[in-house]
Amino acid sequence: MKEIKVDLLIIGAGPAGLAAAIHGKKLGINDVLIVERNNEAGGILQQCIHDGFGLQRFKETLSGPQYVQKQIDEAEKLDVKIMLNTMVVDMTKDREVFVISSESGLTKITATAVILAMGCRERSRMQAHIMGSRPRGVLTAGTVQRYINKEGLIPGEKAVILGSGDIGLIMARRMTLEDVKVEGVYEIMNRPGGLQRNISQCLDDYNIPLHLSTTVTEIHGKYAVEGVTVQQVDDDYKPIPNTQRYIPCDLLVLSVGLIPENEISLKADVPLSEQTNGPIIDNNFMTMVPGIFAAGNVVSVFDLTDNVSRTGEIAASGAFEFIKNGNILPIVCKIEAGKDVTGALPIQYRSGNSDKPLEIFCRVKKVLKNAVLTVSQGDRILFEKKYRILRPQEMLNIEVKPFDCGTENIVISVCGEEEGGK
Amino acid sequence: MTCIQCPMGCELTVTTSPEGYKVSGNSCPKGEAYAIAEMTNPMRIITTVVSVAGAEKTFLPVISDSPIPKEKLDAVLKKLKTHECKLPVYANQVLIENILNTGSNIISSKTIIIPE
Ligand SMILES: Cc1cc2nc3c(=O)[nH]c(=O)nc-3n(C[C@H](O)[C@H](O)[C@H](O)COP(=O)(O)OP(=O)(O)OC[C@H]3O[C@@H](n4cnc5c(N)ncnc54)[C@H](O)[C@@H]3O)c2cc1C
Ligand code: SF4
Repeated sequence: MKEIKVDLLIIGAGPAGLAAAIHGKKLGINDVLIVERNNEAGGILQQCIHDGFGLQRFKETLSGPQYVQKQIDEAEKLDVKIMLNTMVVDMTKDREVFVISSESGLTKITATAVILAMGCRERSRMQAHIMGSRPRGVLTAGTVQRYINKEGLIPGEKAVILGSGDIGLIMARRMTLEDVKVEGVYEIMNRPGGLQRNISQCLDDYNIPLHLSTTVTEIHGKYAVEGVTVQQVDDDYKPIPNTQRYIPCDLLVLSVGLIPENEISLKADVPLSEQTNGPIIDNNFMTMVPGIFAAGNVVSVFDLTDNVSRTGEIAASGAFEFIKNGNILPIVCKIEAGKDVTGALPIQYRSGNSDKPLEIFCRVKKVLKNAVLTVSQGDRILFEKKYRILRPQEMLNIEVKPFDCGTENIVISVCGEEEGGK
Repeated sequence: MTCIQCPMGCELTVTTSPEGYKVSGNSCPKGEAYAIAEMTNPMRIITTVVSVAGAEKTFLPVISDSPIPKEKLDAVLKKLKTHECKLPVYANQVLIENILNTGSNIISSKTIIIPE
């Protein structure tokens, strides 16, 4: 077996891994290697050909490929090494990483620091709990996206979309442009899952109806999809009797959410959080295993790629210090999601960071107007900001100025007016 | 209407008065410009993929370098369906200049040197 040693090994060359590599190089880490299982760098964004990426980071609206191309070009200039067509198959907590490629077979890479940047995957039909047979023609939105945008294949003629996640909305428009008739989007919740701007530019622009509080309860067809039954649901997501409607179609597209991809993390005994489904991380985006960091959608599903890349930089800064000093400071307190807040990151706070700002990511649980977000420790308010409107679809990214951290938990909470029922 | 210029997605209201359109609900000037354009001449950025000559399995993602009037989107897409580009192609390289007289260029979204 071939063996190599590197300072920093990054798993995954998506916007998180690339940002981490670029930042690591800029900070002065010598040997930065990215391992990527695909035949090109860029991650999932290579198939997200629509625009809307990079407004914060690059101050212009880019398509997914344009966004990552900027990073790929910069990584190349900085001499970041990328091993393509190479998959990580195993990893130990001592940062021995086993990779496999058809060219060099199995290789053991020993790294001083590792950054996990494997991204996320889509929830499948199993996780959407639908009855019926398992015919051909049930695909996730991301698979449809890959077929159309990467492989030039059109997977059906008439589609029903289950779930109003952003990828489903984007694909509603994309399929319409490719002459697939999109009958409608069905969402079990009483509010859309995706961003308002995507409802507007992907559905409203093309007169595609969005049915809230409605789900697909049955798939019909033995070998291929012939139709689906949709049914309205009550507040507890229970189907309401006698609201069934049969829709003939040959394609059911699932857009029911994303989950962090952590198979490899588990092999190295990296503890995961039940709230985020990603590794429990500290304020440097280090996991609970010393020297193993995580960035991007492997940690939690950030909706904005700008945020994904930002976490890559935070993790790279942490890795840089770890490579330089090697010592791990104790955890002094936790960061807690308080009133109306969920999925707060980081989860743990380590001492020795009082000279650094603390970057927090979190979401609100429900739509809140004229809201005030507060970060506090005990009765000390560390941060406060007013928002006209906050929506659960949008991940918040705030920066708390450097402060002397006590031992009480840091709590993030939001106070705001609930939107009138509709 | 919802502003689509950035992920904030501000809810905009437009009222007509003798002095022209009045926009409220926007958090920045882009929102105002967007709302007025929606009332007068709605525009959209267009993205799709085009074929690559001599490479059956490779498709090139492309984007318009500025928004195109909504009513011309169909015609532009039709034209792009028949377009074939040659490799190598570089990110932001202009593939079709001033497509259908819209004033927008169709540019490549990425660099492809050899077929994938
Ligand atoms: C189908 C789909 C569509 C999406 N569409 C959008 C969108 O339109 N807009 C948006 O903002 N976000 C979208 N997202 C969210 C997307 O995850 C993020 O925007 C962004 O791409 C996350 O970046 P990342 O670097 O964390 O992960 P990714 O971009 O997913 O990159 C992870 C990389 O790790 C590699 N990898 C994984 N496991 C291994 C392994 N074991 N060995 C080697 N390499 C490995 C993968 O091949 C991949 O290249 C989408 C996600 C999915 C799944
Ligand atoms: S008004 Fe400005 S801030 Fe609001 S969505 Fe539009 S561009 Fe974004």
